[in-house]
Amino acid sequence: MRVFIRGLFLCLILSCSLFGQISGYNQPNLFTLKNGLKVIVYEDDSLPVVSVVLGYGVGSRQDPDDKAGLAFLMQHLMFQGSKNVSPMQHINYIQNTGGELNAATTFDKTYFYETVPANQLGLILWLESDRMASLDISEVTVNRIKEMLINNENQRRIQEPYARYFFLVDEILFPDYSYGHALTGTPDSVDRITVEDVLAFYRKYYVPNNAVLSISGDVKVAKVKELVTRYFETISRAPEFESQASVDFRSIFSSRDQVMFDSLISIPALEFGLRFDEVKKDDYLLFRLLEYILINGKRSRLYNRLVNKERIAFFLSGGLEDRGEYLSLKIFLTANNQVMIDRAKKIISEEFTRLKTEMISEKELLRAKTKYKMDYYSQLTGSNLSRALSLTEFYLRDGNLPDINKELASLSRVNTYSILSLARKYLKDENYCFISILPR
Amino acid sequence: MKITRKLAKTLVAVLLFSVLLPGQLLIFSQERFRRNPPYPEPLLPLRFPPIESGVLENGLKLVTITRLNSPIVTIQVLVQAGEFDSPPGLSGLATVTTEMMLKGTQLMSASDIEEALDTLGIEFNVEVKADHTLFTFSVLEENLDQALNLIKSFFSEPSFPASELINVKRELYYRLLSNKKEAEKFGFDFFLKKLLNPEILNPGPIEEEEIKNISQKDVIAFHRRLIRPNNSMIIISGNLGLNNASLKVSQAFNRWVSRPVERSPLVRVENKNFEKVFFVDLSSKDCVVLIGNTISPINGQDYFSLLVMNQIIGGLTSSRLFLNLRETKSLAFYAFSDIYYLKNNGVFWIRARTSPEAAGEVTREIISELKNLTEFPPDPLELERAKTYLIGNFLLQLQNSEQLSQRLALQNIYNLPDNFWLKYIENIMMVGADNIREAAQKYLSNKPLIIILGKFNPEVDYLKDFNNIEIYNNKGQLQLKLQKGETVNENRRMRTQF
Repeated sequence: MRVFIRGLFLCLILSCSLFGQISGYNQPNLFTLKNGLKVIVYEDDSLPVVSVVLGYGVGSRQDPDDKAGLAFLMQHLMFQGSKNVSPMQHINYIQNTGGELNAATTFDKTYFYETVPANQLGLILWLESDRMASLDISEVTVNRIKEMLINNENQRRIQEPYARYFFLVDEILFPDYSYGHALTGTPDSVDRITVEDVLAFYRKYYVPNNAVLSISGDVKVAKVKELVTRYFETISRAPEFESQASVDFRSIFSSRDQVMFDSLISIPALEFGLRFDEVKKDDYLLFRLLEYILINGKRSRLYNRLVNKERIAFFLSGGLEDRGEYLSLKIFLTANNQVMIDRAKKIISEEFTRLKTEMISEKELLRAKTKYKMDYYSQLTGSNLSRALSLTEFYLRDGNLPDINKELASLSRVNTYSILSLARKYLKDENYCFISILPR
Repeated sequence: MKITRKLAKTLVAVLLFSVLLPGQLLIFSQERFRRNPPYPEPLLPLRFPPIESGVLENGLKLVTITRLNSPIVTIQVLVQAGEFDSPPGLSGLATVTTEMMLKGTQLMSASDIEEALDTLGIEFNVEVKADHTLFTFSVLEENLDQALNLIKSFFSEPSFPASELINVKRELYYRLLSNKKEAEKFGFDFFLKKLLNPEILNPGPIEEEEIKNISQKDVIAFHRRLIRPNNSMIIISGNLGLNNASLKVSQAFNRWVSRPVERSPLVRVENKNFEKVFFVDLSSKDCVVLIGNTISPINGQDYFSLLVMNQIIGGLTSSRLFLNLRETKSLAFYAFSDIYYLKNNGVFWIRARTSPEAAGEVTREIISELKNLTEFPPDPLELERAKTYLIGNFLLQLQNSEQLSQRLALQNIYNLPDNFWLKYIENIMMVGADNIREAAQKYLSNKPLIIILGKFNPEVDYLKDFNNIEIYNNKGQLQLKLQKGETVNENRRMRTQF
């Protein structure tokens, strides 16, 4: 789950649009049903395949107080049957067509997605509309899922002992329940969730006027309109809800550099977190480039120093994560001993200082731009699924389809000074934390 | 008139009722179409993007797949050389050689290469199989010329620096050791060797202890002998056609010199009876059971029947093995079947993870499921479901440009007809219940190879089901032979009662 969330955001969060410049890429079609459901259709007849992504504007941020893990529980519950679909039948229906499916929950979004042969589009729409209209929420089902999540959580604590530090960094960076709590919840918080909580959550957020449906593949817009209208338009819209107020995190961290001893781990590790406040939309692209310069790729600054040259870390990963109007950069590494961990901390601090005091080289910028483009194009043209996911993500975040020319122009305007300015504006010494994790 | 008025009133009432009815029904019930899944539309025809091919002066085959909707170009170089070609005592030589090709050229050090790959945004992967090696590179269209110029140097100008050889060998050694910790991976390697030896000496798995024997001289010789353009094929998938690609590739690869390539052919290993059961003693709390036998190769006439048969018995969680062993009898954590191909040969195998106590029962159930397939044809619904899955999933796999290139590469390696993939769907559709039974009778009637991996306990009852058992340690070395009536300890050469 953790890997997936990281991956999804690395790929999607800062995806801006270069659509007009991609050969053979057409502008998607957008329409809205009477109940508020936004529908994006992309026609691609290169193979008789279609991907459907239904994204809801709800995630762990909306978990009620003391009920951490509710959004994640909902993701699982959505496969437990609805009025006309028995438990787990959703999966069987898709698999029987040769199709593939999955789901993901993030900080403020939840995705359900399927890819099937194009002649089975009706089946997916039937399945998705059924669970949007009439999910089976009973005491028995909710308790079963709760039990499964609690077991998983208990197992993860043993099998993935570093995972809890990943979430601890969030708690330190975002000292507020809605921003900082673990997406998967804790055994206690999951146990506190009641059927009434689930029902209220479902009726409020898993509704057409809080969703975006993206369809990409060998389909025609007119036919899609007919099918989507048939299956979704009679599902009632829900009352609009107020978006949650943003939180001011200006306080200085009291626990920015911690050492923790853990009997479940055998290899020393370091978790690093850095928060970027009040991120402007226009700066997203620059942040993505900064990520490539620092941590993404074998020649990135931190990988090159920590792994290649100084051989301090033997595993290093990291990337940006989205928290609405905030961003965070998280890094995880493993090393041989505490001395190496301390040296790694020093190097990370040095590299951030360097970003604020020195201009990056033209070569580094070119490398970052190339990698950015490569990843971005892969998202957009790699498969129908990656395209539909990108479009859903973009629409849920910004409320519109991308402005191609503006984005492309932004990329070409980025120079080495842009990165220096970004670093000086957002990199604040009081906004980072280290957790050294050592074997007990 | 009276009647007419009455009739009119009734008509109005009926009309009103019929107008109100759907709305009222919506309130109390649901729309009719929600009750059942819709029927699928007819399957849309499969069209491949334009595929062209040619041969360059140095014998390198060039294939282009023109994809207009992608600004990313995928370059795949297929070399018909793999671990099968590593000489005895030097298993791993093919893998080490291909990794070394990216670790230095006449003009660039390993670090220069890493930097050039990163700067050009090239993503790459190298896969060494028993009978071939596939290099895959992806790059932005705008960087294609530079990328080809870099990639060609791996093939035509590698320097194989000794300093890098030490690192490559060490990394491979530890990678193999780590793989051995996973019972299923280790088990499949062991399974392949037991199934295909002695006819095929090296069917893919690498002996980690032989890595240290590999010298720089061996690597240079392997490259010189087998990594040749006339033994290779380059497939370019992207927004360009054959003429354009031909110009670019011939300019870049013209210094890759052809030489006569001699490879001993992979012999066909026939489906046979296995009288022994092999137990690998591992310190794991679960047991892994592997069962299988050889089948006809991919270019054999039973290929499509075998694919459907595999799907029916163990391709998915809705297949027989999973439903029986996990869902119904709760004997196994999972149970699946799979098909593996190498030149002139095919392998059908089943894998199940279970508890030590249930290993015997799982083995018996699997054998019984195999027997069932030989005796009774599958029911029509099950057959249709398996075929629908295979057809649908085939379409999904083709979305990825590397997948189509890879299929074209396989077409070349296994001498498949030109329209093999184009006719895939049609051929799957034609498989009938009798074809499945015939294939099952042909390949599942013999006693299959059975391998059980887990903590060995001579006390367990199910061992008595087998007449001959060989016990191996976690390095794959024979420790004990158990025969009904006696035990032979291979280390001490001692016979005891069994």
